[in-house]
Amino acid sequence: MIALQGVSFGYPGQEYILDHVDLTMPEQGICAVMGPSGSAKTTLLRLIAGLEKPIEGTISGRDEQKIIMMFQEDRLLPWCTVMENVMLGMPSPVHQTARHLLTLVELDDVADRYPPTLSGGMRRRVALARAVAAEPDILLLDEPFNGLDTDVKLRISPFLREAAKLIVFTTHDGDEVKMMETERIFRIEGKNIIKL
Amino acid sequence: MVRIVKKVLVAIAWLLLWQLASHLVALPVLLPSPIATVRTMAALWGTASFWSSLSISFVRVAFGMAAAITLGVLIAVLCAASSWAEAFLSPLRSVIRSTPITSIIILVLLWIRVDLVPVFIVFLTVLPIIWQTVQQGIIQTDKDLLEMGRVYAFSRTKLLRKIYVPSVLPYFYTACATGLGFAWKASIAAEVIARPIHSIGARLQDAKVYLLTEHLFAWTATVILISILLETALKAWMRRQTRHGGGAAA
Repeated sequence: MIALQGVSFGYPGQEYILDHVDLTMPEQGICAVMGPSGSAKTTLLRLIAGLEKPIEGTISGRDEQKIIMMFQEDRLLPWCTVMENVMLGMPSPVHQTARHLLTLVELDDVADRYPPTLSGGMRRRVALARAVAAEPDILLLDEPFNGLDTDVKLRISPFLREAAKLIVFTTHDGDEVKMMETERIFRIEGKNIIKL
Repeated sequence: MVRIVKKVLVAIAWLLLWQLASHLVALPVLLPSPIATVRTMAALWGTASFWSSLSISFVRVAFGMAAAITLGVLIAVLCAASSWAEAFLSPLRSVIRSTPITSIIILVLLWIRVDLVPVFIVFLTVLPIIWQTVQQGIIQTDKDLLEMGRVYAFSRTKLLRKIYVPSVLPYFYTACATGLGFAWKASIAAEVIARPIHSIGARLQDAKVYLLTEHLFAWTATVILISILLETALKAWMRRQTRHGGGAAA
């Protein structure tokens, strides 16, 4: 169970963007973090992933958990093929499993291509497959459906829902919250986070 | 195709200008014609001493380059990893870069055997190029990709193999191509002054002493030709190595 207690954070030289946040996420399930652009949704995920340290407060429940974060940018290795990129995340790389994941995100036909030759939406799906391939306990998805067609979103969301014990994703789209069958919704308001 | 035709036409135009200039000067000892140069080149290429001078000069360049690449990469890694190492070593790079090459050649002549002087000079000329460019490549490695590696708990080896090395390779290849051009020039300058028995530089010096200007031109043209061939081969190889439709580039 991820718990934030009195967490405050601000980037160097700037004022706090999160101020004394108390928040508990369940051990399992799907949570959405909503809020307008620039409201610290990404920062919250980065704090949970351990990429940023709170200036005040503590975050507990991360020990012994494999946390994988999918960033807003695809961050694929341009010199590796799609298949190699997916296998990067796997604890023990298995070609067949990677191919299966690519089939689930409807990209098995581009397995041998390089990311710079793909569209933005395709790269996004490769990044999703890579994140899932890592077999995380906690999967943090930062705007995972950005740039994807509604049909594709609908087709890949069932597979995504099963990808980890706890999935936390950011969005500002209510339809995505429904599509993911979200169990808990958090909204960033000002410098605080409230549970809806 | 148009590009090749354009290049050929430009080359022909310059050869015609050279021929015209040599005709106007009318003194082959001052400016031999392109035809006389090609004739001398053909004659030189048929001699055993040409090939021995060429191959030994080539080996010297290769050894100097190999040493510069090895040490240059090591120092670049060290300087990128430690600001103390960078602060300590960067003045050395500035000194090497700003010292006239002839001063170094004359000084080195006092220290080591004449046939090793060109090797050392190539090493010293190429070292700062490899060092600075590779260091820049390491520093420019995409921080987002490194962070991704951290999230996926990449080991140090995996980080190096999957992110650092492919990111730095385009910089490394560029440095090698640039270094190669400078290496030939530096090596020949060192050979002219040091005069090791088998060397292109010694042959150039002979040509100067005996006023064999067409030989001077023929040797120079040969060196230019070899430089172009080596650089083209290196660039073609580099392109093959980095063929992934995009990504890091120097």
